[in-house]
Amino acid sequence: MAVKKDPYRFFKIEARELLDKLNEGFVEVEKNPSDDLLNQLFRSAHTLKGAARLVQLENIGKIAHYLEDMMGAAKSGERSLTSGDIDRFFKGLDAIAVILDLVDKKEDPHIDVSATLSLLKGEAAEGPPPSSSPESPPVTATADTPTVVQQEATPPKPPSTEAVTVFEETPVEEKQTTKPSSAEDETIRIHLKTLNTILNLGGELVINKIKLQAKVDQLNALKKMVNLNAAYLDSWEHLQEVSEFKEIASTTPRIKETFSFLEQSVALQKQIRDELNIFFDEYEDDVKLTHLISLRLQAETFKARMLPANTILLNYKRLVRDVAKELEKEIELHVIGGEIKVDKQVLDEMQGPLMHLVRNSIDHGIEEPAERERQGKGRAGTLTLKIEQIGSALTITCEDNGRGIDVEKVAEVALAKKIITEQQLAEMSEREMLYLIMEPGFSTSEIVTSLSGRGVGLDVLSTTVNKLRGSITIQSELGQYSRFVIQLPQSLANLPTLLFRCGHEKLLIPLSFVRQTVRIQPKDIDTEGNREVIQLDGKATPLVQMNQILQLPHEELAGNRIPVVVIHSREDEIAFAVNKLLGVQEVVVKDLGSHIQKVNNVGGSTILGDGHPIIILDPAELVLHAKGGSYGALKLTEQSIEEESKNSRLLVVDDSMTTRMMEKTILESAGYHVDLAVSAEDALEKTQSFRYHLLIVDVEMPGMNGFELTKTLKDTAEYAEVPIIIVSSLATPEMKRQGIAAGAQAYIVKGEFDQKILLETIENFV
Amino acid sequence: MKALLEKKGNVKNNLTDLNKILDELRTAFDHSFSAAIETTAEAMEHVLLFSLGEVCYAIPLYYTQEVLKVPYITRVPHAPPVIAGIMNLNGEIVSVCRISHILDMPSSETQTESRVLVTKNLPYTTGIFVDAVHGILSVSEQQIQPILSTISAGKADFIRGEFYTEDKLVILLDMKKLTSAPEMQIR
Repeated sequence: MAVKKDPYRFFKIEARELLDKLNEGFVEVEKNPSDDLLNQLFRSAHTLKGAARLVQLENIGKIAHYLEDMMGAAKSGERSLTSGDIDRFFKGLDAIAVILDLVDKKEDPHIDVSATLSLLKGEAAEGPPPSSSPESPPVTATADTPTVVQQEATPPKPPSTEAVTVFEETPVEEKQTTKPSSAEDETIRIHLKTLNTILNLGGELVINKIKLQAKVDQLNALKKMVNLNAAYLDSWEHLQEVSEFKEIASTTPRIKETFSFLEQSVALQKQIRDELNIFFDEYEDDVKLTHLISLRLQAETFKARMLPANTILLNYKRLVRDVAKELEKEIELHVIGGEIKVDKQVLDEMQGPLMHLVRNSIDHGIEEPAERERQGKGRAGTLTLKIEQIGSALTITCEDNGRGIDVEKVAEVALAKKIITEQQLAEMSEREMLYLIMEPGFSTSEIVTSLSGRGVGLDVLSTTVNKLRGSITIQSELGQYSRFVIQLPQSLANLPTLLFRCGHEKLLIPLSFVRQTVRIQPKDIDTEGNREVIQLDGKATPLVQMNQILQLPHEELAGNRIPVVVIHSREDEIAFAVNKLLGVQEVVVKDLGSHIQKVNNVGGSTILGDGHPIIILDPAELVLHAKGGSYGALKLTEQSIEEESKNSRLLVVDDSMTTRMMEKTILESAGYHVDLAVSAEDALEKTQSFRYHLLIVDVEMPGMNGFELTKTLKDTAEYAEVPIIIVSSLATPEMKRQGIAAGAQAYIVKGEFDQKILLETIENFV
Repeated sequence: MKALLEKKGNVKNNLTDLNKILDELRTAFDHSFSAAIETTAEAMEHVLLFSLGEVCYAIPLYYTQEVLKVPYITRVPHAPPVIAGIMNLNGEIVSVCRISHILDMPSSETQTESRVLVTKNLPYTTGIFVDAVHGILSVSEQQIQPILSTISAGKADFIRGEFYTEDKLVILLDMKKLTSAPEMQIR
């Protein structure tokens, strides 16, 4: 196994917990043997057995196995438990506790428990002591082990004592000989929610710190005013020394009185100044310290959520062995990087999907030994699970040297399962086709292999990874290998993001999806087919305006140096033009409130240092939406097939490529057929050849504008009754009046442009 | 009453210590209405009065956590119009809703009197954008009548009833139905 450190360090925590549960449960079951409780005990014993066998502690495994059997018999009613039975069970638990103590002391735990077992099974003649027997050390186990003396430290404890307390009970001298300090090893289980609360509070602290910092500046201004005032008063003091003033003061008692008040005021003012100066310096230091402490608090809390990847990977060796045996394949498993620490939540979420991926590789990837030999590959297939940490990103690679993914077969299945249409398939590259295997409804297919049908498909992996704000890349060569590269943020709590401004809104995007940021000039923008592109590293990359995708109010992009964020997802890269780049921010990801599950293009939210909420975008969706056609419309296919009955054909007339594509995507997803026209003239031509059910027209276009187009069409016999919707960024009432005058049925302002409004409006007319 | 509202406006940091002020309001209200409201032995329900446009609404105080001056609200792109955005409520993200969209009432812009009511004791916490808050009132079950269909007060599904106070009509909302409206579940 890939563990270099204490191989039992997770087992002992889990085993102690299970032991506590069993001890408690047996006490309870004696009083009230409910089915629920018996079930619980059965499960605990079963889990303990499994865990023990995993770390090759057969002795614990055997005892747990026996307990499991007994519980099984008890819950099926085959056997009712007597108090004598339960006494014997406690003996078994005590023996397990002794073994765990040995594990804690880093001594050889592989003691022989056959005597305990025969006692458990009632074969030994020893009479059971009354009630639970914590006071008597487990006789049989003790007899078999050379460490009698040390064990005596534990028996006085009641069975349900926590592992932590047991450590404390151990004599100090012993600890020094075995390990440096028990305090370092002490653990306590804490609910993730609690930890997240602490994390939130840490975030609040940082926000408050920023407020305090602002107060430092205010205080500094105040200090300067006081110092300035002191300087004025200084000059007054000098004036006082001038003989004329002295004269006046000596002759006029009122003035003299006033002077003496002023003198006191000056003295007081100086005192205020001095104390303020001292206070300010101290306060400034305190704020700085608070800053450091709050950062540290956050960092430490983040760390507290991290566990080594081995926590889940340890089980894989066993899993791989079992699956391979079942499928009569030979597998060599390599686990690399199991010691890397990963967010507990990431581990929990990934455990199932990753296991599925591994199964999948053995099942579909690696060939039968005979088949492999025929290909000269060596009987045993290699399966590699590699965990790497690159910056703050985590990469999990699952690779096998099996038969690879047959793209043609994948395409066939996808077509047969109606996951894509012929037309969509035609637009796909081979690499894009690979990703079809992660579409819902794909992998339960019986066509790819007779061995599949395990229920969950790779779409679970895809869904989980998306949820964790990660990405998957699939690489494969037929007959050679298949490789799944999963990139995840190392911590869910702490997501590195890029902060930028789009229109008037500040937005964040996870940094791991940002390929690069560049500044472009208008002359860098080319047109390729029907879309705008820029050349990046010799590759034409589609250029999209972020505010249009997000339907934010339009703002002219700044002059000659337009900031562009290049976002990648799967095989695609899209350049998004934004208004301003504002730097990198590590944020704590939050949702949008529990009744908002998903909003298009939005992945979550967080609170910035200024205390304001901010949206975190969903890069994968953004790229998908920006791509518009091809397999980006995958998710919409099912719907559009269903709603084909709508059968209405619409024409979108807009000179902006982005608007056209966006409207097309929205409309197609609602089941409409959509044609596009790039200008009013183009539209006139297209309306000649087909009578559309509805037109969506932009106002400002080069050549003939939208109003003129509307008027022209309305004057013809064919289009007099055809509804026309004007969509424009011009929002003045005058414009609306003009639109209606031209004969348009509706006028939608792009600023308030919302796909629901658009669709509802269209529905009213079609 | 007015003085109290102004006093509320002066409370710093936008966050209003609701309990304190509501207590004051309650005392003031009980005082001024003690003649109008029959003090019977039957159970009285405390409701919070507010307005959306010209219409006066009430929700049970039981569902109100606090009343905020309109905080910084971040727009959520692509969210339906009922979601005005999200706000920072003591380090948690809480949505802000314009229930006027659900009630089929016209929605108005933020004004100085505008407030956000934060809900509690419901499946989720949300902020409800209102045009003004008028205070707290005790109503008895007897006072609450079924709504008259002639009055345009929004969709009947979300209305528990109506009652009069000082000759003014108040629509009592059914918060459970309102918050479980399909429009409020964004998927």
